[in-house]
Amino acid sequence: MDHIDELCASLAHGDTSRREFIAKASKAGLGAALTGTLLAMYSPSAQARENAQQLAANGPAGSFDHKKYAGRKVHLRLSKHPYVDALTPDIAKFKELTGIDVTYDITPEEQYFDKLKLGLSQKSSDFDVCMVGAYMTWEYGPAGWLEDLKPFIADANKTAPEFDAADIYPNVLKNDSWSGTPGDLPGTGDAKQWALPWGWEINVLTYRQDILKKHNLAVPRSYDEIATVAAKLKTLEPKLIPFLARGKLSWDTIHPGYLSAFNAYGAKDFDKSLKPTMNSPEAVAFTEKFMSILKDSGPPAGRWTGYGVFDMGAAMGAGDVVMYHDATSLGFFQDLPGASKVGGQGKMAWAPSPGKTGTTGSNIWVWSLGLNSGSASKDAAWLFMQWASGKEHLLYAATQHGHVDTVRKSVFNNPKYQARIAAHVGYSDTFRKQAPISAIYFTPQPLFFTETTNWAGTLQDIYSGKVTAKAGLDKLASDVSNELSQRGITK
Amino acid sequence: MALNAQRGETVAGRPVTASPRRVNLEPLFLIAPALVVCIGILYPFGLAVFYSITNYSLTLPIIKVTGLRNYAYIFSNADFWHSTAVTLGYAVSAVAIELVLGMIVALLLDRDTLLAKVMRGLIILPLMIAPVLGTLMWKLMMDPSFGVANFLLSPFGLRNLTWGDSPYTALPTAVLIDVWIYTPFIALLLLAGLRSISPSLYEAAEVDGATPWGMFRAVTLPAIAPYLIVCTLFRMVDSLRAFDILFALTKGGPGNTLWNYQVTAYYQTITFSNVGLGSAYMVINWAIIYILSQALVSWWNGAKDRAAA
Repeated sequence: MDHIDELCASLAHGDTSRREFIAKASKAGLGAALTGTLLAMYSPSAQARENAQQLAANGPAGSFDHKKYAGRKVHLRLSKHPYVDALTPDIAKFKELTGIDVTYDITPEEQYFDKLKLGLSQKSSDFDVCMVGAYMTWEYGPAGWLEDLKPFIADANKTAPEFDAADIYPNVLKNDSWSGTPGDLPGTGDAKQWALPWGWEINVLTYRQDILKKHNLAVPRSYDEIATVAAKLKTLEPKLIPFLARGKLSWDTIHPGYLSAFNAYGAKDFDKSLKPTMNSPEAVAFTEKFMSILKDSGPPAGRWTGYGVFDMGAAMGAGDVVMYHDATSLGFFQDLPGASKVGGQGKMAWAPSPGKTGTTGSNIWVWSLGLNSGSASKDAAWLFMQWASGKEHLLYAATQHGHVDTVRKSVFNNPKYQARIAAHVGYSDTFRKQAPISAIYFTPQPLFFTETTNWAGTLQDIYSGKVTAKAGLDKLASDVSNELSQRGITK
Repeated sequence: MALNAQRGETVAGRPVTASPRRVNLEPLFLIAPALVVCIGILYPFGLAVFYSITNYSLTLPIIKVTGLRNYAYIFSNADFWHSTAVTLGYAVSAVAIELVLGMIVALLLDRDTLLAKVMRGLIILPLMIAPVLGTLMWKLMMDPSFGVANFLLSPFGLRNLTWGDSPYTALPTAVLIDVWIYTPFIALLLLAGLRSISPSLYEAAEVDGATPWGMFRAVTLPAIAPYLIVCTLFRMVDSLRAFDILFALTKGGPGNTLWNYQVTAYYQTITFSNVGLGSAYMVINWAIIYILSQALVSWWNGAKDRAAA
């Protein structure tokens, strides 16, 4: 009993975290309800006491046991990413907390989704948890490859009391859920939670503030302003690429800057009846504008189609680019001291997503954790998923490693995290402004990859002058419409 | 032996105790490796043919046989004719250039000079690199920022060559890389052919007053014709089913510029989850390769007979 007294005193003084307290109380054989009551009594902050009182009152939550699956093994299928670099050194804590052994395989991102898709489609039990993007869940979820996580979240026996779903940005959590009905927006209808958000990327303007200041140029807020500034930079800084965007033949060419601004200019990919509208007058007008900027002020000699996400990051780091409209974190890693030619010198800065008339929301990419429906250890895997997307790990990952653009509000507002990102000019403010107003702008449907890969090919053809924007987008809309019809998705 | 055993006789002084039902397994053991190889080869092939007549999609739980619908869709689609043009254009141009260059290199290496001896060892280096790595190396050389290719070409006014980034230069760029990797292969095979020609044939031609070009046409070419056909066969089959260089260069882009049958099959099967359609592309690719191989093999048999005569 003395041991319990010490534990309570330690909690009250803030020397023991709530999680440690729960784990130790569980080890000492305290009942769940008693643990909740003690938390309510001894938690150092009023909010924590309130949460704990709720926990104690709700009863069943207390029956959660971290060690329930001790001795089990969970295998992770991961893509090479800074989030993974932050995860792997921290896994020992999870093992200690739960007694579950964790193994993993890591594949470069360019090959990752092929490998994942084949594994999931074959109902492989080789892995339990995988990294997925929200867009992937539109194909993987309805096909029965991923588990719906709603029943897990709702089950107090399976979900730890400290897992606080309300702490996750609601628009991000919502964007990982979908009904499976083509055309339904994320989170609407009978939406299933196909994955748990882990990290996200908002697409904003990343730019060289030293160069814009040097020439007394204002930070562009729209694509018209980008066109003007980029044209001036072409003369003022002839050795630099004024503006850059992704251009490779891949689905991921569409989702960052292009789709964000496409939406801001009033264009949509589909209408409500799932008729392709990426050839609407607004879409054609914006695409012409986008292409004209890239042709006039983009990479030299028709090189745009060779730039993928990593090429863009490398080009910014090498000091070759003045502006791009892409993921917040892409520039972050280049801006770290010593990471690149321009890193750590306050040369780079971030500004909100350029739209038609000013600040606008942006399309988002959500790196998430999915639960393989072929897994033989789903409950143990779920335990890992909630821990990996929980407050403790994400705070560690965001402050000690490169897991920036956190999905948890508490982590973003944590003084340690804010101190960490303060050195990156405009990063915190841009994220704060954009986070609440950003969402996925694609219309969910299972042929997402067919649509976006062909869309990227169309942009390449427009760029090279093989087709006009109107002709290219008309053909794309017609092809997508035929494909949807042939696969029986539309009539 | 079985009869002897039934009669209770002995073989080499030992009593024979074999059962009357004894089966001779020796032929089965002998044929087993061939059987395993046949099954190993034929099973995936048969499966691909089956998938090509189904609606198999990675995301559909039930596979339905749809007959020739995938083929009808493919043949009525302009993308198929584009991929046919890319497949044949790539294969024919790469193999033609490689044969000409390989012949020239083989003739140069078939000399008794120090340079030829050194080069005979060095020329195989491109063959020792995996095609994907070779392509990535070329991509670095052709990079607009730091690549050496445009720098070297700048004196000729070609500083801004777009290589794989433009739909107009992507295919020639892929062919260039293929030529760089595989010309040594052809040169070495042809060199072996050149070394097999009896010097007496050249001496006789010289006595008859033949010019070097005449000797090449009347002696060298007929003698190495079987080698040339073998080179064509190997390289044509390889080039018709090319994937690595085309995909590593631009993932098949810009647009669908480099979508030959194999790249199209990859996108259909893996990216678009449409296994049925992707398999149909592979079966068509196989049929073309099979017909062409048969033609080249019968041509090779004729050339071999003529060379021996």
